[in-house]
Amino acid sequence: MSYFQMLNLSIQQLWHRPATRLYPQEVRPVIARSRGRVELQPSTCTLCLLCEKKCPTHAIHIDRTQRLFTLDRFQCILCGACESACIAKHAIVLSEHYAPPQTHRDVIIWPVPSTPPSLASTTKSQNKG
Amino acid sequence: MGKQTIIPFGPQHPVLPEPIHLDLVLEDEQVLQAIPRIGFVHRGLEKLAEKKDFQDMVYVGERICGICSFIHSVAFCQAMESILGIEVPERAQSLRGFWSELSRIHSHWLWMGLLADSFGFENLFMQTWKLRESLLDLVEATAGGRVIYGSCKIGGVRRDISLELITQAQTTLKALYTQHQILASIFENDTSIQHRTQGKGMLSKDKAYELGAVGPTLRASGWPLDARLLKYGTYQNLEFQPVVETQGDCYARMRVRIREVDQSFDLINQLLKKLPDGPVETKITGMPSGEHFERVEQPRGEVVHYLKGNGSKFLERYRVRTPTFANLPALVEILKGCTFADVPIIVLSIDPCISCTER
Ligand code: SF4
Ligand code: SF4
Repeated sequence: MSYFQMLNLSIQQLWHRPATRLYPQEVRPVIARSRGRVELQPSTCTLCLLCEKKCPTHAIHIDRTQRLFTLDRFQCILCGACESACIAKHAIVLSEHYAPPQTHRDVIIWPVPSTPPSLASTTKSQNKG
Repeated sequence: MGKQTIIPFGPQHPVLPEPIHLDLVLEDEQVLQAIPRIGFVHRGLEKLAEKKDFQDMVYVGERICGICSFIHSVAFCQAMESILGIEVPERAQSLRGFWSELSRIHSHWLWMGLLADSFGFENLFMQTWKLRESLLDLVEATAGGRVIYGSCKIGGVRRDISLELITQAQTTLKALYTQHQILASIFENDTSIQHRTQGKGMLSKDKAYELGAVGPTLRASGWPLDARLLKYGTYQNLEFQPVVETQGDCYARMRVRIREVDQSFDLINQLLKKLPDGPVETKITGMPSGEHFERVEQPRGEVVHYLKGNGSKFLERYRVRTPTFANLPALVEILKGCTFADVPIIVLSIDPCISCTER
């Protein structure tokens, strides 16, 4: 009896598309609200240090004199504490896109403009060993 | 008397997702004794509580385990809220219940897949994990993460879910429930599965209680004990009876888990129907001073979080007793007398989670 149930399930599967995706050709659709990666809008950031204080893994480093915002994605656990700390300014948000894989460990540095604001963003490699 | 041999089993073994080592004393094909050894993935998370802000410890608590992650954070937060004297809003409690039950379903599906895999039923294993994948997508859509939900915080939950998402969740869950029924029927009626599980790893009712087993392992031996009956959080408003089986073998443990998935679907339905409105978090005031002992039901059984605060932002003591730790004496007992070929299934039947156990 149950042999037929399993057989039935397997035969049905023959007429369906595979449940898995052919990854590089077919990319998984992004799920809204997913905590993918941390993004900073340098133009709205006031360097108030709230997110740096709230980050449980010390992934954020802010240099106020040089106006540099540094994020170590390898240390970030995507908890969202920085996003809730910055809730009034929406400068730091969790985007639903995942961070792409990296071959070596580096940090992301966003220069934060004073005035006038520009949307400059650069990635600088810093070998941390 | 035949010659006795000691065969090492694990820590690396195809059916074991996590490292546990068993020294099996065999006489011919029969296991006379099993000597477990754990300690391969100890991370010292409890000690970390002495150096980490109690609000940041939620993240650590959640990472004790990769499967019942959310329920660990619920247990930690509930214990902390009791110490701090915080009232959690009702909506937050319901959402915690919602995610807890989702994680129970996905944990049981994971286990059912692993069970099918352990006796070589690869097709059924794939079918079960296919279902689980859709559920993980739902978890990601509501909580934001697939494995680490990151939604629980002291005083409530981090994110609310909209009406639209609730409707979407209900539709998805309905479809998943139908598919679960098909799989459940295969698991329960398939003769090859019955042959491999029935009468294997018997744990009698008295022995189960005496050895302090918890969760499905205990309930499969006829004890209607479930920590959710303590009516913590949202469970005070929900109607349910613990799932109990009486045979105490691997098959009974499997049936308990299968029927608990049904029960979780029912609980989610109940709580989504009467999801109260309102805020989802309250402000944390003060520093933890005092101690609390929190019991919460996980997919694998009852977990205990003991917290002791000393009025500073660092905890003085944090202790977690996880369900697998409580089930290990029962495992050693049921392995006695079984044949060597049944060892993987019997070990799997308690749903061991070694990372939990070693913290
Ligand atoms: S991202 Fe937000 S919280 Fe962080 S420094 Fe900028 S404004 Fe402040
Ligand atoms: S998401 Fe969490 S870990 Fe990542 S940068 Fe923000 S606060 Fe730090």
